[in-house]
Amino acid sequence: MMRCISPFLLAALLVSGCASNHSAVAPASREAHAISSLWWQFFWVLGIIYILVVATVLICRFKSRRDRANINLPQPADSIPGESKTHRVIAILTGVSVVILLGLLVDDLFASRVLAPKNDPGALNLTVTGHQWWWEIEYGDQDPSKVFQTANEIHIPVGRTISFTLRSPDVIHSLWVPSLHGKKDLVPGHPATLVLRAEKPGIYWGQCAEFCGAQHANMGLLIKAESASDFAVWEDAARKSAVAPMTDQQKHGQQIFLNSTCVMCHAVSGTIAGSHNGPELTHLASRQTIAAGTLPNTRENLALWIQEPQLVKPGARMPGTGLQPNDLADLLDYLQTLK
Amino acid sequence: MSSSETKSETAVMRLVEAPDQTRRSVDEKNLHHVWSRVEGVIGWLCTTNHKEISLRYIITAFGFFCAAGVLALLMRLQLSVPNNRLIGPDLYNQLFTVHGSTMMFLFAVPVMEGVGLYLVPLMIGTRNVAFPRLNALGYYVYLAGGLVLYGGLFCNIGPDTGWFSYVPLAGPDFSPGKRVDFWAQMITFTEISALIAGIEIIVTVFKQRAPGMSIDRIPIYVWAVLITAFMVIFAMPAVMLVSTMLAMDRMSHVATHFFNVAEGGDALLYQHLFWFFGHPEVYIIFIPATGFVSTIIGTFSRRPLVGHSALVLSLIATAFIGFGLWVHHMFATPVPILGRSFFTGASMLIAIPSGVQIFCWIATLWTGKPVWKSPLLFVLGFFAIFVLGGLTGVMLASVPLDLQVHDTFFVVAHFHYVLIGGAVFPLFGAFHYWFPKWTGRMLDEGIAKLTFWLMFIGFNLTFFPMHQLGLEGMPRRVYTYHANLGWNGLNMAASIGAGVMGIAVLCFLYNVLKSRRSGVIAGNNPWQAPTLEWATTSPPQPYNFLYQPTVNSMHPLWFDRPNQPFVVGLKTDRREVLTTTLLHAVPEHIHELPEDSCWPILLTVVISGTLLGVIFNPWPFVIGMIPMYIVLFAWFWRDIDLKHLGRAK
Repeated sequence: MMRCISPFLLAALLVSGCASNHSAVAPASREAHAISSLWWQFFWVLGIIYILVVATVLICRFKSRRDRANINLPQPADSIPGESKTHRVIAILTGVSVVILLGLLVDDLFASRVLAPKNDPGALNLTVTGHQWWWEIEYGDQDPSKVFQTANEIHIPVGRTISFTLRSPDVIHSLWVPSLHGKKDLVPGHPATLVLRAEKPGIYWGQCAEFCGAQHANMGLLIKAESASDFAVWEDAARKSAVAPMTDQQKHGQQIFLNSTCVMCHAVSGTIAGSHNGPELTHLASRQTIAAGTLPNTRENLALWIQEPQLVKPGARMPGTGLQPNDLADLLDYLQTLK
Repeated sequence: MSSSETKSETAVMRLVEAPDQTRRSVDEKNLHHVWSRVEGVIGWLCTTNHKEISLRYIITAFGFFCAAGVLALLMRLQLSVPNNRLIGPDLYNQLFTVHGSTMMFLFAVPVMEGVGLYLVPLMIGTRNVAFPRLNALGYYVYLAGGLVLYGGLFCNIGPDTGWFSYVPLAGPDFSPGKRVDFWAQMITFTEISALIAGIEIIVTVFKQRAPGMSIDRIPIYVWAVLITAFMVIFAMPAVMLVSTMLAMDRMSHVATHFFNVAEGGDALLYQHLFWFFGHPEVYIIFIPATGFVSTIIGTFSRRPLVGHSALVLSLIATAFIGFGLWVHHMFATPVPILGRSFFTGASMLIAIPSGVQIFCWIATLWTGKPVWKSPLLFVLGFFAIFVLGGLTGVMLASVPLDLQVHDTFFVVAHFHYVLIGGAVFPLFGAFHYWFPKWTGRMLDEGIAKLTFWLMFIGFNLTFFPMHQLGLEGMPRRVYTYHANLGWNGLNMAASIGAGVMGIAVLCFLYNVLKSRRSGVIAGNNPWQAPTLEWATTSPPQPYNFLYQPTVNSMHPLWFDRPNQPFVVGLKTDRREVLTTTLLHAVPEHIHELPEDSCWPILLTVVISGTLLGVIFNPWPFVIGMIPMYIVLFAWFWRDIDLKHLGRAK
């Protein structure tokens, strides 16, 4: 990208995030592209204005060094020569500013058109529900049996329009995956829609952008954009119920899960656990992170999260379980089968 | 005072050029006796001298500025490295809430009011503000509000839902306890105070200008403060309303459901009301600062401002348009698209009056002969910082761009560029400019320049990287972040910069403490400035001017005749001021101001007790009415005041 090697220090500082998967200036969707190119137009126009203004002020500074010798008494404005010329210059500059601002306004309206939601019958409909402090995701379908839920990790196909319905049952959250789109608030009582079409496969990081309480900082999510065929494979797997435990340890682990407080909040399809107060765990082991992007999904982290959630994420709704080491190991064995 | 009395007083008023020395010393002695306060703690608490009260405003506000600065340093310490466990979310959320609330409600607005209430009576040539006791009440109520907020913070019941306290997060379901109530009540205190200051300014400027100071000769700074006062009166009721509605929603005995979605309330209504205040608030802070900038540029460029009328009209335009852009704080919420476009247009439109001001200031510097003393240096910093903040503001006016950077560190960078660049740098310029008038001594120029450079470098090191952090996806109000997101280096830079800014503030404090004792004696007018406050002693006497001045131009100390006449005939055995007409400042009648009074502070005690009690139970509201009426009754009873009693009339 040419812009990454910009000669200007200012620009160089501002574009160093070109390669990341969570940057407004590293777009990977139609919408993020539109915003990013608008950003660069604003950036150059306003950047040049800034440099001109500061340069003019600095010239005043050096000009006055030359003039320092002849400080004389102030004169009334109407007796200063060239005053009307100065007024004319100011009027012209004001006119130029108006024209530039109008240009930027038109530019802005064109970009807004790209973002305006359009009716696309082939769109994939997702409902994202924000909770303190995790994301619930439901993949909709005409056929109710094909509807399924997951949490904190969204898979989408590249090149297809995705329509997110956003809602919140508790406080205001904001869905923001910078490489894919700007943010949209999840306001209780005001369902909203966010439409985007990913153009580049990849894993994109996002997190809640509206302050939502103690663990606002740890309310992350991943969006994995993949080819239509990869997505179809994933979707099929995601619709399936959880696999039954095989070994004795796994079976014991499942018993611990089903007979403890876990089931009061979590669901694993194919079992009696069906509560949706917390993230769906049917395919927990296939996800990359736990606790809404707080920790990488490893056995050690899972153990820590189950035993000491308040240490990992103070204030989170998950209570510590205080399991015996053997029971914990079996529970982990079971949870790791939930691929 | 009856109207016949007024007439007879006016009859003895006349213009003189220079009263003789004997007369002067007699008048000086009498005025001093009448206008100075009773010695001792009681007298100190009961003073109604606008200069004393204003200095308290300024010092208190500066104290809150330092306190909120310490909170900011703690936040930067926490964010300097990823996954930091130094400060947990519970404390961090209190820190940024109290930092923001302090800077907006307890520092920026009151400090601007404080400086305004000090300077306006001097600049327009009168002896005190229009309602001196109300002025004292305003200060004490403000102080009480600040103490309530910090009392809460120190008892670990500091508010933790952000300076905006959005519902439902701040509602009874998601913020149990009393934290948010302390925030809501602090708002009530400070808004009472702000409204009082607004009324003071408007009436004083409208009715007490020196004869000859017709509306076209009002100094630009007075215009700025006046326009701000009008904005305060229209904007502040919205936030008082919304914080009271929130408090009523939260109060278990009352439990209204204004914002309770389950009962048909609306979460977005809160945001509309809050930002209907919140956006003008930015201009309430910024417009007085433009007054500093104009004043400093005019004085040090050694010429009248280019385009004085354009500057005043720009301020008025800004004040009007400022009420029409609040929705640009809500672009990410589900508001209709067409409506958003309107607010985009309005948000861009407001750049035009700001642009006109910038052009006029640069033209003044360009065509003048600037003397680069420290106040002007701070104005130079203002240009470099504020203009950048203004331009990122144009970006934020665009809906698509705003959707990306809203609620990220980009916005944090933007508004610190606007508020620190646009208000704090001019304010420091103003401190350096008027310090000689306030104390009689000059600040040390060398330390002043050091302060400036430390602050300028520290500021940019802190906030410039935040633009990039925001673009790279770092949201605001997070107490920690992951190490693998690429935000580490820029956060460390920001934290170091914050430390440098802290040192700059210490430098300034050192300069103040040192110069107050041993600075160069300033004299009446050390900068050869044109406005009336420089016509009197530094610091001014309690009565401001020995004789009521008159003016014949906008720059009386530059362009008026040296023998510009005074008005004599105001009595020297009571606190009399001259009132003049609104447009032409023609003498109208003589108005007697009240003596010092203990009722403002007693009323503050009653109000504070009531408001604090209401946090816990609605009954104190009813019970508090009784002492409140008693105090108000005494307040309005004409002769119950200190000096009348002391002098045993």
